[in-house]
Amino acid sequence: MKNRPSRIRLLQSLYHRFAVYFYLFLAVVLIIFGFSKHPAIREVRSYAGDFSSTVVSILYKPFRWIGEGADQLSDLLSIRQTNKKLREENRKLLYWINRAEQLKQENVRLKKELNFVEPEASQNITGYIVADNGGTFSRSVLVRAGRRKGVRRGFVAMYNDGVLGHIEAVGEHASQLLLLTDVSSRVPVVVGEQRLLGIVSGNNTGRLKLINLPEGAQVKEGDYISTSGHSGVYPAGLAIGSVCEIEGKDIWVRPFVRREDTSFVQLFDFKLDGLLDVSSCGENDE
Amino acid sequence: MIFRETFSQKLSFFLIRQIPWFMGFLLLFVGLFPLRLSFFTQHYIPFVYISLFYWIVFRPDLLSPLRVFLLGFLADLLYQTPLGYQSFCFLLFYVLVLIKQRFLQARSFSFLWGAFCVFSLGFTLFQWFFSMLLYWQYLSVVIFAVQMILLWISYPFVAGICGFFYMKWLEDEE
Repeated sequence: MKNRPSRIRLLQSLYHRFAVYFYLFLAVVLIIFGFSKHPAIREVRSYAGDFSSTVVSILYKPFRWIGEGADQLSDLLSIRQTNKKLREENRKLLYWINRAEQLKQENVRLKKELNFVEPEASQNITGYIVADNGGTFSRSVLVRAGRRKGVRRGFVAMYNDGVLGHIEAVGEHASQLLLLTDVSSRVPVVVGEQRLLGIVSGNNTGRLKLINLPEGAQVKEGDYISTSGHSGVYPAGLAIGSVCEIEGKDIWVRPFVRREDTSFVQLFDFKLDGLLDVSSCGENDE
Repeated sequence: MIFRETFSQKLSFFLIRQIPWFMGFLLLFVGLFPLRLSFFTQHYIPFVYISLFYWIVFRPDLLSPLRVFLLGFLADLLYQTPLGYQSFCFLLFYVLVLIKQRFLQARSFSFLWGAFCVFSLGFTLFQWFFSMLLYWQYLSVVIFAVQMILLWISYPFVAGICGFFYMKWLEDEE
């Protein structure tokens, strides 16, 4: 009985002395465990995403109001100029509406003649970007749309017909969108009019790197880059970007859509199964 | 005469002692703010290091290794870093600053700022090296350098907020 308090004190002093080393060791164990890409890790991250999207939406609200106020003020100051510009645009658009109507009718007629079968329409869900949760390690954002809205892993995120990335993990109310610029992102693409096959790779900067091109491929600045459809994640023909710089063997691509261009995204289900095999989580990442 | 603390006094005492930890927690979320400026979507500022540095220097007793570990764990979950990585970095930072805590405690603000810059330089290099090792590819050092410079610039603001809380509630309580 007499020894019990002294034992507790001894244990306490041992804990205080070695706590830092114990937690350092625990951190190393976690890093090693993380390499296993266990599905539980993704599940925990999804819950953290749900939680953080709620917290950030609340904390960020005052800043959003300030931003919106400033935007409205700036709109008000430039109202005359905007009005003039819109009238001019409206005049041009009226011409294009007529032209588009003619082309639409022609398209319908040609499809009928060819017995063309329309591809299945893809489902799309719109979600707001609530948090930039990428650091120096990754480029990803949290979108306020999760399982409850019907989002699933592998949905493709687009804005203005350009690809932004794909959904990597889904929570109840929020999903983690992995951007094309993330260091782990690899997307098979076709380049230019020659339709050369290659891969665009993210490197955590604002640009993408074009790799794995065939030997002797001739690529020039301005070449259009779209998905090839080989990955099983992105269907063929989605706009990725254009070649912006060639430095020796390094070919750089500027994406059409960048994170800062938008505060919301459209999530498309192209019904491709490249990423949907959850039982082998992480092994089939692009 | 014996003074007995009332429940509200005990509660306020408890809450005041949570300030360092709670600030770190809050700063992790501030780092997630969806800023649409091109510059800030590409560069992330780990404000939490400033808060950790400040409280380890002035009130290390309020930041136990367990709390630092938990902050790192939360950071890993929120920022999509490999699990355990931020915990490891935070704890390593904790140990290094703690070793120099007595030396730093009585120094001027500008001296502390300089010391923080030195610590963050070491950590940025460590992070750069570690992330290249993890992804097994060369990563531009520019992103890490910009992150470090932004951290240096942010120091007076974040440390100023920490200083405000320290002087208002935690200095007398020591």
